[in-house]
Amino acid sequence: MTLRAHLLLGAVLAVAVSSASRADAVEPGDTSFEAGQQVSVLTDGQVSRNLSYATFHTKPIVSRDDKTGSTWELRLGARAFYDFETKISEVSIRDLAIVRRTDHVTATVGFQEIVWGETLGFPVADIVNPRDLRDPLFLDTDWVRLPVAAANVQYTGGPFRLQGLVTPIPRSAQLPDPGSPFLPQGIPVLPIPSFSVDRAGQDAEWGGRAGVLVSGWDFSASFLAHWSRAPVFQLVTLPLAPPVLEPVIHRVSSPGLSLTKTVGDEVVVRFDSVLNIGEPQQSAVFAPPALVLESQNVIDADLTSGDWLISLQYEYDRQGSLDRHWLTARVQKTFFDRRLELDGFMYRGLNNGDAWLQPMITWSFLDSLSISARADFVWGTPGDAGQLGYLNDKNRIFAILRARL
Amino acid sequence: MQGDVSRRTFLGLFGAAAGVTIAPGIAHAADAPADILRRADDVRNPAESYFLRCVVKSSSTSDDTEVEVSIQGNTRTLMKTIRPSRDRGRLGLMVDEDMWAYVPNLQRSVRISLAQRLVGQAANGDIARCRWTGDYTPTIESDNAQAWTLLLTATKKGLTYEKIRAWIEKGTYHPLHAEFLTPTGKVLKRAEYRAYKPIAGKDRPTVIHIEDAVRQSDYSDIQIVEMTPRTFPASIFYPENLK
Repeated sequence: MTLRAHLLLGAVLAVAVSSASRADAVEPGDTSFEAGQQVSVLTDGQVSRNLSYATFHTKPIVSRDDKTGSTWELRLGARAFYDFETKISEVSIRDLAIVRRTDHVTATVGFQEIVWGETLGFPVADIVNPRDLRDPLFLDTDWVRLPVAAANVQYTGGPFRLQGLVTPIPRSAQLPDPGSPFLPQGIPVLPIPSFSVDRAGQDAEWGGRAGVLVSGWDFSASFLAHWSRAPVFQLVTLPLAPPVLEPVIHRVSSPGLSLTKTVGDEVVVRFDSVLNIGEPQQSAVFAPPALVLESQNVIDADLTSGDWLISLQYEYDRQGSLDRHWLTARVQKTFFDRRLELDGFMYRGLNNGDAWLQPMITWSFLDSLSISARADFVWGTPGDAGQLGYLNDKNRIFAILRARL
Repeated sequence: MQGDVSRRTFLGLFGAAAGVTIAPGIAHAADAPADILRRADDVRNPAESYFLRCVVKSSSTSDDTEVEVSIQGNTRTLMKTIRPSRDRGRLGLMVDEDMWAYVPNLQRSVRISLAQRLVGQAANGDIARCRWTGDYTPTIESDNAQAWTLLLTATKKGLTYEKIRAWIEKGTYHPLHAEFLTPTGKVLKRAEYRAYKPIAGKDRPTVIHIEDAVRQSDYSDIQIVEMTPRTFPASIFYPENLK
């Protein structure tokens, strides 16, 4: 981010701290601290990640009206890490927002994450925040969803809720760093376009959502005018210079529909459908991308019984004239009162060569300490309709040691 | 049809008259099953809207679970896990018969079923849904000098238990113990309402002991640490606002 963007955020923080200092801190709020180590080693011996990290979140209620229950809240959160392999260090703001809650309205202004959609795993409707794509096989949303500086107002009444939001200065997705094994090898990649404070409002992303909960059916319809989230690449040749790949993003309009329904006591069905109008399509030869209509649809059923979770998901995408189908399955079982968790995830392309297998074990050996180890086995066919062609054989072991206080 | 109405009216008048003339020594009008249940609910719930902090101790784990609960009527409840540390920040929201959980690692709320266990023998519904009135139709199964035995039958789908047999102390309307039943009447769990102490203005049970009906060594104790009438903005009881 630019210096001026940081100054803008600093101003929001100053207002927040000022509000807090004038009010009685009636409730200290939830505070959490997490520190850990993440190590990823590919089967060819390359270390793709070896970072120490720490995250901090707090959300005190600085003012509460006892008669109406309305509150002013702060949300503050940050994360810092140092990667011993790439020597990259980073401090990022995860939360910096003021929240005003009244009986029916919640208004949040500042740096925040806004979650849309219902499906898990590949949440196609969760498009408000861009993603950190530096490790395309690491999809933990608390890590990869990038907060945006936005104004977000929600009205809730009875079974209905309405939401409107605007992000005056959008944020781009984060691409793999130079030298990453997850970048196309041999051709340099230019930085992804960023958005300037000078153009605040002109590049704005905006949208809204309306939802209703009736007889256990939870429907919502959404619309977001935004910049494409998944960048595509075009080959750029400059005089007297080697060719480079340039990330391309474009304005996209995305109407969407979501629903959830519980069936009996143990099954939850989730559905997300999004149309991306004007989505840039990746060319196989890195030609300038065509703008196409993209439809993404995911239906998911989760069965929870005792300590078992079994999840099945079907995804159908149509991008221009290209059809793609995937099937995802996940089985999770916990033991010893959730201290030990075994998790198996399988992703298979039905009309393409994508396959991804991820067994994982997590052991919480102390109240606040846990260790996870997982493997990623990835297959893909470069050039086919799938999405994992460029990750073919990027198999790896990934370990996370995590302490939560 | 007209005769039908007349007959029902007659029977209704007869029933009312019988209640006045015959029943005074047996059952006071205020001791109709619905009234007994409502008064028993008033013992467990200090107000329409209140805050509750409780610790769940379970035989299956050495870790206690501490939960803060914001309750608005019988249809909206927000639960927040304070400990163990690995679960801190988890939120559970109940709206009517629908439940959502906010999972910090996912940074989002997901729908879950009401019967999904919280810890040990305690289900989310045992904490989130403290009023039986409205959810269950009561009938008096038996009655002795000390207590009424009420059989509660669910009036809607999606509740944690389809049937409950509850023993309510006469005079105080204190719930004494309960059995949680399957639709066929098989006992799943037993609960005891213990340690009556003054809290939020009157004597209320401060420990709810829930044990498996077959393996009685499997149990959970829900210990109420704090109970305060409080007003909440309605907006906190929506899944979009879980964070």
